[in-house]
Amino acid sequence: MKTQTTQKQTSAKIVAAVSALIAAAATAGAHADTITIGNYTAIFQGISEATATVNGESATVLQIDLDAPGISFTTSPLCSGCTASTGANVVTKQTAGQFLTSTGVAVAIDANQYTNNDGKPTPTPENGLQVSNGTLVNPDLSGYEALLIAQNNQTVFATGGSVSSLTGVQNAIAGQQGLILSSGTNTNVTDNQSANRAGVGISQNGQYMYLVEVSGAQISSEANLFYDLGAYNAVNLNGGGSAELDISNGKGGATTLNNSGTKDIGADLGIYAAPLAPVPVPPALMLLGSGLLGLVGFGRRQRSI
Amino acid sequence: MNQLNSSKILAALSALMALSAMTPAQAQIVSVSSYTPIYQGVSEATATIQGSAGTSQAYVMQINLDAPGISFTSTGLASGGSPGGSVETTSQTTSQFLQATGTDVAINTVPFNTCCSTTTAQPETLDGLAVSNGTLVAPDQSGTADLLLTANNQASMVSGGGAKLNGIYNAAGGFAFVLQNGANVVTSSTPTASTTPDPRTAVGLSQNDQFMYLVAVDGRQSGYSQGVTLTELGNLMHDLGSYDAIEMDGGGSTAMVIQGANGSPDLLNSPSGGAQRYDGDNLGIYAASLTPVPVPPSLALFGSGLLGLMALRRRQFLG
Repeated sequence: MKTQTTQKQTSAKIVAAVSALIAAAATAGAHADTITIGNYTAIFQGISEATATVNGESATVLQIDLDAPGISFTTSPLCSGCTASTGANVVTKQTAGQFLTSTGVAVAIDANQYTNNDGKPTPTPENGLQVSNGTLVNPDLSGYEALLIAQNNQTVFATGGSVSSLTGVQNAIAGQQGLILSSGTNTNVTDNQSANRAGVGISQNGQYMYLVEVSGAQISSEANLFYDLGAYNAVNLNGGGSAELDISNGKGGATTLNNSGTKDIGADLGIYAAPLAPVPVPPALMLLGSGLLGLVGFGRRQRSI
Repeated sequence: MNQLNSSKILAALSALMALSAMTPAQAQIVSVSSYTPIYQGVSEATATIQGSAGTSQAYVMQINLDAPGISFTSTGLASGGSPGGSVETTSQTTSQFLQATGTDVAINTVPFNTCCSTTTAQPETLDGLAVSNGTLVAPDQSGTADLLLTANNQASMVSGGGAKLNGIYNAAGGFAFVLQNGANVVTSSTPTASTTPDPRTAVGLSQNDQFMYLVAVDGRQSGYSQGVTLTELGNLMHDLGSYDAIEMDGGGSTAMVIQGANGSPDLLNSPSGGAQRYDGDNLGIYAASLTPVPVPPSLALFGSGLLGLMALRRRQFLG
């Protein structure tokens, strides 16, 4: 259930996680959607990227290891002169790429549903709980499932309207419905609309977060993608033209991973991550190298006799 | 070069391990306040749990079982009652139990079958082991989990039906283990393991059995405390420092009481029924008062100096 501290237990957990993944893959196909998931490529320490398809539509997936060193979160700040109140202007709209550039995060995804849809970089009210670095941006609201994140990256999805205290909550965003995947079960939200989707899911043991962008899917299909990825709970974030997922290009700019364009949107969720460490020389290769050097020395000495 | 590299890798590895120890990812957020000593060996804290059903508040008592003055008692056999018979205890609120026993801290424990009312004193039968001051009150039952205490405060937890009662002075059987050997053992088939949030009571022991944790989680009170699932209770007990923990009777029975300043019971939590339930079994703890804060030496010197002056004046007057 919980992250253990010793190396032995950690590797046991990895084995368990891998077998859970295999088990999930084995049961994939139990639903009506055709979902394929490509191989993961590490892009930052603790963050891997994969492409997927959902009934033929393209999707991008980021897997975040919440135990990895350097992983931390932020969300859009309360706009200047604004008050954290439902219906009031709380954040200034910007693209997820602009949010990524201004905060310096490695990954950014659009989050809460917002109501001022003028398409301009203006302040907007939004729906559901949002907390930015320990500061309340928008209050908890019934019907908008909240994702709470602690400073140590413990997370929990909480029923909208039930968060009566923000003790321990460093960052929070909210989805547009309740859970679309709840304890591993698709809640089959009906919308009958194939739209761009953004979502966030968490694995059962709380170690992995999944960020997803789909270029066209019903919410129940998005939930099945989360299930196939290994998520246990998931919410649907703001979608349509607002769905956007960006990563840092390593040069201070943003690369947009989804192919549905960018737009000035409400709150974003950002993730800080360390760049990948240079690949260390494998010990076997090092031994071979030093052995070769030794041989060279040996050869030289023989010659000098 | 080789050595430098490997020491660097080692450093990186240990940094990694240290970091992962600091940031245990978990699908639940637990924040514990600092502990305030209220008696010798007894410290109080509160915990906030951000769980799947929202926010919950918990009241935590940490007991140092090695501290001088710590001893236990629990609800006794009802007059005319017999262990395993039709009457085992007479129900009391946890506050009434605290007052009747003169204990300093009390918490509800063994689940019970109430025939009639939970708002008046009733004859009760218990759903788990109860031993009160060396007397068996209710027999051990399989499918439960037992907290066992000797007269010298050696504490242990065993599966119900397997308790050896030699030397056991007080005992309380709860629903089930939620934490065993440091691991959350709650599954969908654990008793009371619904996914719905509830008020819950739990007792935990640290790995070396030196510290006992008494926990009351409030629930079913929107805007204050939603309650926790059994899995969340297990995680909470782990985060508090328990290695083993048992869920006791919960719901409207959950109550934690301490001796108030004026000798009247001080209820810490807010029972979901709006008032304390008459519970079939309670566990109480005697503890010594905190030693009074010593007078700072300079002040003592000043005081004795004044006394000396007064004596001098008196003597002069007499002279």
